Amino acid sequence: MEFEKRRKIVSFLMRVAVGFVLIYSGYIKIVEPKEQFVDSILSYRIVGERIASIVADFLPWIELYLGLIFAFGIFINIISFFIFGIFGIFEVILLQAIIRGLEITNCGCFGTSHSNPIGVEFALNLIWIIFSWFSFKYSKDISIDHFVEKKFSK
Amino acid sequence: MRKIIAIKFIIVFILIFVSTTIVLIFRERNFSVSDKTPSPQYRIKGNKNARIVIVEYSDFACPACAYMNEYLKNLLSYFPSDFVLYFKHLPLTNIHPNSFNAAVWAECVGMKENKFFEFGDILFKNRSEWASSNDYIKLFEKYTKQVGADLNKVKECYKNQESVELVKSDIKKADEMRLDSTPTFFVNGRIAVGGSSLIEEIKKEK
Repeated sequence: MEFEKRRKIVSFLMRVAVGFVLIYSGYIKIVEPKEQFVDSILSYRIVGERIASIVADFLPWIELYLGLIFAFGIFINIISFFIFGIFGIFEVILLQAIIRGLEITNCGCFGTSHSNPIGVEFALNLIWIIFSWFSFKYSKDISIDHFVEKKFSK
Repeated sequence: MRKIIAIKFIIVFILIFVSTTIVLIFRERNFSVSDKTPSPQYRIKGNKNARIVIVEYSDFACPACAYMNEYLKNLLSYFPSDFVLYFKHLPLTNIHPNSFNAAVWAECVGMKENKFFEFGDILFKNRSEWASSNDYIKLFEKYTKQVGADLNKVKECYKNQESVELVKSDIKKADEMRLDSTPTFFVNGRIAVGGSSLIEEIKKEK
């Protein structure tokens, strides 16, 4: 019982951490010049300028909203699906960059405020995926979902 | 069940509304700052009596700055009497560790040989070569020769750190205005963060 309680708290903290990372990552890209993020996207050599520009317009806002909703624990199942999608796609993008030996000077994760070497970013992203999975699996009892369902289901 | 989903949607809507408002406020916060002060002579390009004054805070290793460097070069060549550009340094050393030294070296090329913009063009074009190189000084020496500047004079200036204070002074000014990304421009004193905003601001002046 004690173990389960601890697991819930830890997974809740993991959810908040994942949410914070997404919020910060989205926020920093929104307030910085769009060209910086476009250039980071182009450095992975997957899409052209037009698509990179569209991604740079929308992705930061999506990250911000997903992070916020996930941190608060609303529609956890659905939001987790999207978060796995974002982290999963990014992991594949990083992996192909490592395999192709691309020179990525800025991973595009946190604008110009911070950038890790691509290998480190790959490992960190994997940690966020694990955190998201734990949150999805065990943190539902400490969430707005749980609170609303408990309060209004009667 | 419907009631529960509706309540959750309302909470999501509130969160999105509040967060969007906060982020947009933060994005606009810089609009209260202004900069129209000229750079040293060798960092000024265009007609000094021009109607439109563009102050640019730039980092030689920043890809967006390199792109905008080409844009501004074209702009100044097409409308030579309409614009004046004051170049200022904002090396983002947390992601481009060699940028500060590049700025210091470029200052020396400007101070001693009046070839700041020529040297800057080479730095922008070859940024992937020197930005992450341990041998960047050798590369700077090569570029200095390419622009036809006196290498000995420039090396002496760099060694004696004659231009460091000028770069630091630009960084200090940028810090005071809480500028944290490049390129950041001021068009007749109005801030424009990034290329798209610059173009918008220039259109307003035309």
